[in-house]
Amino acid sequence: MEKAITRMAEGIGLERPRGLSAEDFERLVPEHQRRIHRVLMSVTRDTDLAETLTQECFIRAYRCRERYRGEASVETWLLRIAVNLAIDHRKSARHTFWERMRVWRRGQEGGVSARDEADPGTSVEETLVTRESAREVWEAAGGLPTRQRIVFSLRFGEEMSLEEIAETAQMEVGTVKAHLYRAIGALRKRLGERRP
Amino acid sequence: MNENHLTDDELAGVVVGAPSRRASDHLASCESCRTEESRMRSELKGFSEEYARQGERPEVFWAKQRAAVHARIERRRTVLWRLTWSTAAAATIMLGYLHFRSPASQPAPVVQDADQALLLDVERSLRRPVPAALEPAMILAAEIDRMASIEQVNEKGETQ
Repeated sequence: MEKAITRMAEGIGLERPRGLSAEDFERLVPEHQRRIHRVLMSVTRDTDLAETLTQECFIRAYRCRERYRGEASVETWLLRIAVNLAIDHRKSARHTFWERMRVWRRGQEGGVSARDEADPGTSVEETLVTRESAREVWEAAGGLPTRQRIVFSLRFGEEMSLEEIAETAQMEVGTVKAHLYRAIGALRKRLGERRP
Repeated sequence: MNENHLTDDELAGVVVGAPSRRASDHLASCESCRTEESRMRSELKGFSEEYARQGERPEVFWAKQRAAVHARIERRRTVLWRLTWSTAAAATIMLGYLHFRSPASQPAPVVQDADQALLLDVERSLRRPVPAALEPAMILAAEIDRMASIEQVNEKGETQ
């Protein structure tokens, strides 16, 4: 019976009633690495850090794979690990130092990175304007507090439902809404200030 | 025109997908709030597009990342494997040592042997005509007696 349940669960996805085998885990990385990296990129705004934390997320998941009980989907479970890693990292004093260094370096570079420059191949003005506007929103969202940024990224980047976000970020749905409202309010304010 | 425009939270509720009834009713009749809602949706769409763009990486990047994760897992497995084996080896050596060491140095039989020896010694002492400590004196006395008897024999011979 248990084998049948396991087989059924494996047929649907990777969920198993108890723990994840090493073979299951092999499949997790290629299946979820892009999403985990995207979320961490949006939360940390640092390419190297996002990559390091993505790796760390899978290593931590591997260590805890026996404890996975299938109460949440594998994706939610992984995202929860990623979100916790980002929060822990944010809290650490070491991060504060590197954050300051990065801000200082950006200031030295004039606040514009290579990625911020327009694509050389783009010739349509409208596309450029849309891209510029999208980048403005992205940059404005980067200034949100960590938890608001996490919730905002999961809602509007990953298009997750409020319940899924609540499960991932381990918050009440009401708290998720409150974070989103505050984030949207702050964004509107920042974007309003930038508008001519 | 409706003067009671939507508050920031009401408008946020609309774009988040949890609009209040008042917000829904108001939007149906207020052009200004609809424009604001539309602008907000467009900005959020922009965020979503940029979000996806920022996460784009070449396939090589993902392959490298997978390789790095696997390498770290393998390293961890190896360390755990070595740790298990070295612990097992240490435990085996310890058990072996304790097993082979114990018969040679068992204290109980030694005590038993000593007791046995003492008892034998006491028994032997009891069987002796004199205590062991007086044995030299007894030999000396026997020698004196022997010498005295020889002298007596000699004296008898001279007188006859």
